[in-house]
Amino acid sequence: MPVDFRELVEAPKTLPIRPAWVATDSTWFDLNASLDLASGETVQGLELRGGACQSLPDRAVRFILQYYPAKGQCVGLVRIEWRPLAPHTNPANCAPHLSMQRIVGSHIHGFEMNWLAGQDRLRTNNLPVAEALSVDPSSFQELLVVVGKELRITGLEKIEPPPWREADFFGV
Amino acid sequence: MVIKIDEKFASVVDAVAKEIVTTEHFGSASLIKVPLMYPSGATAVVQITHAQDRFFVTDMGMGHREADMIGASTLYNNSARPLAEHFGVRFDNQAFFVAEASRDQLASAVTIIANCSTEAASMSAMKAAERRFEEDSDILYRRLVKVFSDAEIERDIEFVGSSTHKWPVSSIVKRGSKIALFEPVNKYHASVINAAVKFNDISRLENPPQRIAVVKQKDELGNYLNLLRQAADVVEYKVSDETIIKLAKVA
Repeated sequence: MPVDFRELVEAPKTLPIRPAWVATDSTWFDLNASLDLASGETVQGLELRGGACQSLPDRAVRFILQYYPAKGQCVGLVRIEWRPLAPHTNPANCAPHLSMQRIVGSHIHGFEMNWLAGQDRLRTNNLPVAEALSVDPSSFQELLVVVGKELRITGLEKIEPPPWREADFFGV
Repeated sequence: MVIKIDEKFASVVDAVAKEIVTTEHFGSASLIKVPLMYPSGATAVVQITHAQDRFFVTDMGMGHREADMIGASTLYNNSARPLAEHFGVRFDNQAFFVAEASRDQLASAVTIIANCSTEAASMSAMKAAERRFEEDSDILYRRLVKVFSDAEIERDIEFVGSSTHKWPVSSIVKRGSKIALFEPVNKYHASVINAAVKFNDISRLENPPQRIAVVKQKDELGNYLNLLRQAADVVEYKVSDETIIKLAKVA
């Protein structure tokens, strides 16, 4: 039976355990968290992924709600980019108010704006449509509030800020 | 003759050019944001650091992270290595970089690194999409083993068409001298065109095998169905075992 992505996005979710940031290379931190539904079920394949740059405090943080089954493709469902290093450009073939918008700051790649209702599927290429966040979080804690609201996950305050360090000679 | 420049229009174009290439500085490092996009729509960023008059240029592994988001980091690495070799830059399984560019080489180094990063990300996204075909191929195989014996089915083989081109075929059923080709086809352009060309070529053989395109839902195909059935029978996965045996004509 096909997975109902909208149901996964809209269902209230919680973190069963406190996830930690891990340095996956010399530049980036990653975070991976399982998610529980209200029934207490930890959903197979459903996860919250985080990403941050080790030497850029309060910049370039991303959170993704994604479905990544053991066998099959990884499907991003919602993504929030906080103060990203680079602008985002929307494709032309999306809602008129978003079409070809260039977004320089924090933004969200929402589920609905990337859902092709007529074809009953998400757009290809990992949520290519985004819109600016209506309120740009001023701190990591505020970002968690926005992520919790948009991804419908409670208890995100459990997540510690990434253990950032200052930029060094070797760059960010 | 002097062509008068429309200053107002020219200033708009100049402003756009400045808008699409921007920089940001972090003391020891600077970023250049270039007008190249990853498949997700994110703009490519290249970092430059320097030691005296030599410059280190890297994509900071941004392309790799783009691919990782869709579970395609291995595919990214497979695409990245030949690209790095082709352009003569380095790739360390995470980032593209030029270790010691001179000032004269700097603009080209930034251009090459940004292009390698976005190109590898695009290639890995395309390959990840092709995986869907492999999954369809598994589903088809599981359907066929309900109808035919394991020994009668061969998977992922090459079949030579009239053009002498070798086509990859998902599943072949052989019973004595009778052969039937089964191919999963989805509703997307690339899948339909690939199957249609393949079936057309194979149908022109002197003794062509049976050709069966298997789809999830015919009504998803629209007029692609007309194209597919020019050289193949088309059925949905849910048809009866008898129908599959009948179409294969191996009974």
